[in-house]
Amino acid sequence: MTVIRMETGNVYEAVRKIEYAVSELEFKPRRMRGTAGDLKSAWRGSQASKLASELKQHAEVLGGEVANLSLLAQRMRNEINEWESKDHLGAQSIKNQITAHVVAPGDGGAKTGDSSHAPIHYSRVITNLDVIREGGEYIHGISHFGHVGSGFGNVPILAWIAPVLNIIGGWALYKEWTAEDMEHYQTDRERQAAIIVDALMAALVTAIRLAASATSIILSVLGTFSAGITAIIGLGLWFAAEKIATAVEEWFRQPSNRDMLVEYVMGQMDNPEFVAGLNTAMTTIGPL
Amino acid sequence: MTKIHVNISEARRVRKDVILLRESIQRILRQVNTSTNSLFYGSPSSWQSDSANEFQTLYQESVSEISGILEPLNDIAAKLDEAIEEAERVDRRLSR
Repeated sequence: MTVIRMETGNVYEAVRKIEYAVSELEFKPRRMRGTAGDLKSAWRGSQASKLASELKQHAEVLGGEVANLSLLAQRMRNEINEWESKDHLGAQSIKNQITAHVVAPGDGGAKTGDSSHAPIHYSRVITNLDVIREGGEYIHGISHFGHVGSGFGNVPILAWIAPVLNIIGGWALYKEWTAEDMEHYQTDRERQAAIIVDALMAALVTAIRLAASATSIILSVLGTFSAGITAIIGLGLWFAAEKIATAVEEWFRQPSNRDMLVEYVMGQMDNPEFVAGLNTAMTTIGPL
Repeated sequence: MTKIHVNISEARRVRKDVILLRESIQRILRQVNTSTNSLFYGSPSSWQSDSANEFQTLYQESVSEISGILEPLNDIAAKLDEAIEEAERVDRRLSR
């Protein structure tokens, strides 16, 4: 399980303590060298020279380590700034994302914003977090879309693909895979399943990147994912989201994993519950 | 012929300087360690990530190197002490 977190106030405090220590230590090497000189004046003899030489060596070591500590403190400052910056950007992203998905209960038309054309029949706001959970279960082949997609069993599976393609007009047909990747699948049904898996992959990765940066959200995603990826995403943890998203992308890129998913989707394409859940997830997750 | 010269009062001052240096470095390390220990070993720790682990390793390496100076400084002070005592004994003997 990957856990990453930073309480920036406490880390700042530690940085200040290190910087204070550096400011106190940085004159010690010079003082030690001075003491070495004094020692040779006060005590003339071979042992005195040896001890003075030792003192100078220790001064050298101390000087080097003080420089290292100073560098570490600077790196910590940079790290804090980076975390705060990512958190700020992430919070803005999730705010925008959730705003775009808020719809009135019973609203059967297009969603607000232009990110999706999904019919929405929920009495609650569906955010990317819901979709990620469902998507995660889907990836495992568990397919528990029931409570999300109930009532949509008759929606054709490609209903969401057309608007998605319209939204991204001018972009490549496939989100992540190349045309060569697609040529691997011979039949129409295989290709249809491959398009679904490809789009789902892109949507899932996008959702992870967008949603995981929300402040104080702790989310367990992909807990039993085949690659063993488990993440607890906490305060502004953009880096975790990036890592998960990258890992998911990597996982999807493995031809054997793709084949497994395509095969699974092919087997489920006639299952109304699966189709409903998939349609709901894919049209809620946007923008692709 | 071995020639030894010890300026006793000056040697005492040098010895005191070495001890003060040692105590000062030790105090600074203790203070900064208290802060960084609470950072990493608190429950939960304030900073957890790969970069935090990397930082912790580098920090501990530096602190360990600096701590490694403390004992030799002690030894230097002790040897100065011996030299001072010996010089004082010789001085007393010659004064009789």
